[in-house]
Amino acid sequence: MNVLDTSASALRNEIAAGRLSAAEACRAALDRIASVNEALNAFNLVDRDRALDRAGDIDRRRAAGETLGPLGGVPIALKDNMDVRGMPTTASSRILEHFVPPYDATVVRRLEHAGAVIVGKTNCDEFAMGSSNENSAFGPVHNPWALDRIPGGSSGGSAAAVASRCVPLALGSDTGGSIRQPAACCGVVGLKPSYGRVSRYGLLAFASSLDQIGPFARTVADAALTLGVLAGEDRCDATTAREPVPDFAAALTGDIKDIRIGVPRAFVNEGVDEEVRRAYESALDTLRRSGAALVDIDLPHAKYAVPVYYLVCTAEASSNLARYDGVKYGYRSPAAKDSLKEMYSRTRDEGFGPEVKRRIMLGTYVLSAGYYDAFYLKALQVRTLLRHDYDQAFERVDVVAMPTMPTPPFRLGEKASDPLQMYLGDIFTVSANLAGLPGISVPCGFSKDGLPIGFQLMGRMFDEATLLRVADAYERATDWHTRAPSLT
Amino acid sequence: MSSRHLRERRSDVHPAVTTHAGFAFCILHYDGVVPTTLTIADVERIAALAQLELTDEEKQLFTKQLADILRYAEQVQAIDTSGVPATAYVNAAQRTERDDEPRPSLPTEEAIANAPDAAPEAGLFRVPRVIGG
Repeated sequence: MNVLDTSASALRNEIAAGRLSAAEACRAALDRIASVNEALNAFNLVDRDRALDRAGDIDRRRAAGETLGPLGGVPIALKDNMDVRGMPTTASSRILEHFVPPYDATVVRRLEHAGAVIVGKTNCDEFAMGSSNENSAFGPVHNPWALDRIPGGSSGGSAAAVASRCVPLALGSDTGGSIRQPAACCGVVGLKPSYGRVSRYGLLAFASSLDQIGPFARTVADAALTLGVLAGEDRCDATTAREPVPDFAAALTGDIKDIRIGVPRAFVNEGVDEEVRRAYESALDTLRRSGAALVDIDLPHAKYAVPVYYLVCTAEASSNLARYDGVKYGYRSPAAKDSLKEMYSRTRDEGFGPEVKRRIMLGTYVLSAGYYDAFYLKALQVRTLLRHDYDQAFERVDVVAMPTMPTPPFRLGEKASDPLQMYLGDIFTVSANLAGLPGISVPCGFSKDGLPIGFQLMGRMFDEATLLRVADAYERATDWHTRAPSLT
Repeated sequence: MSSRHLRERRSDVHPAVTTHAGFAFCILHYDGVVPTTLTIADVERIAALAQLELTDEEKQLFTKQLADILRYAEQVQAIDTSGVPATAYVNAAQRTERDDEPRPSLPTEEAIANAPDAAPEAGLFRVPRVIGG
């Protein structure tokens, strides 16, 4: 058995049956990271000792007759914007230099309770702001399929870690596509749950009405398994929903004959790369042959999703990032010793990278007197119209299908100097966040250059079970998810 | 720096809206401010509001880039939103109150452990001079 190629659920079962130790699984992951990370730059931190220690615990508990949790002994990586007590969180920013969180994020408590072994923290765009992972203070992550290409962002390190077989699972956060888009770029599965499904306690806030944590995996079944561990109400995050958490894995029946899939033709027909369009059409065809019905739908306000998203998320970011001021934690500019105000502004100028500053500036502008109504409030109203588009569509269909990203992963540096061009690439992912809907990206092909292409399914709020069922049925009918990059 | 909060304006909420959206509000008057240009002075004003001390190079760059982005975002202003409530938050119907019971919180020592400058014996964060500085 090749440990690195094994799914999370199979690893857990091997460990539970005593055919593999958690320590062996952990060591395999750590060795793989050590051999590929120089090329990928996917990890900001690897905590070998802590991981081996935890894995040893799992083995001792199993030997003592304890039943392992659903992720017992499974190595997992976390995006470096989630807190693990005693392990530095950087958000790939200089301004959090030397920050060591004094508490665990709720997702960390839930993962470790389920037996998962955290091996380290993955590189990302600074404060999760970006679509290419080029905004990290620690340098970009490289796509495992082609090292000169973006891995996607902002959770690029998590996607690359799963694609390169360092770990079978990783967590990311998704504010406007930051799980789904890198999943598409790296040829893995990425799930953004419904808003309120997973606690954000211990996640560094970027845009609080949009942020959601979710898993990367190589199979839909592993994503479903992980969501089951993460999901549920949390008294530490008042936005978590009291919705019941179903058995997501049990929902994967393979049968989608009752499913109606919405296809927003007019929206998808504009500005999509030909190879991506072909892969998407072919995925629709596969789903139809598996028994689902395709239904044309109209999403008249979807074309406004990018401007609405960038007005809303920057406004919220400008408020959320006010906390980084050189007082309570992180970096403080040594240059300003004489006045508090100067200390704030020097610290923030030296500590934040260009994209974070750009978004703070934009958000401050759209919230400022004279522009609030014309930009921020207007965006919130159009957000309502966009939600209504989806409400209406979901009266007729069970899921909506579209490409995850309009192009295959582009070259590192290709769009770095033009932020607006970069933002436009988020056209298919931002709607799910604005409307609070769950979305999943599933591998659906490769470009002629061998670059992964993904397509996205979006579902009704809190109906991840149907979303996962359709994605899993697609996966059963194809073998894209079994392909691995030829990294040596 | 005290944290700034997103301003909430509530006026003339439509009765149909209050049933499912706590953060809903309607716009009755709208000035239609449309900035087509952005000056360095605008960028300096925003930077000051955001407590960012930008270099001259950053000011030049942001003046152009922010103007590009805002011009693109102006397309939302052409959409008819009369009577449409705002969505600030999608789970607004959910009750978020809880009983006011004391729960364990972070000990002072741990709360200040990450401070760039702290006075642990007094349990305080230390900052440069605030008055007369």
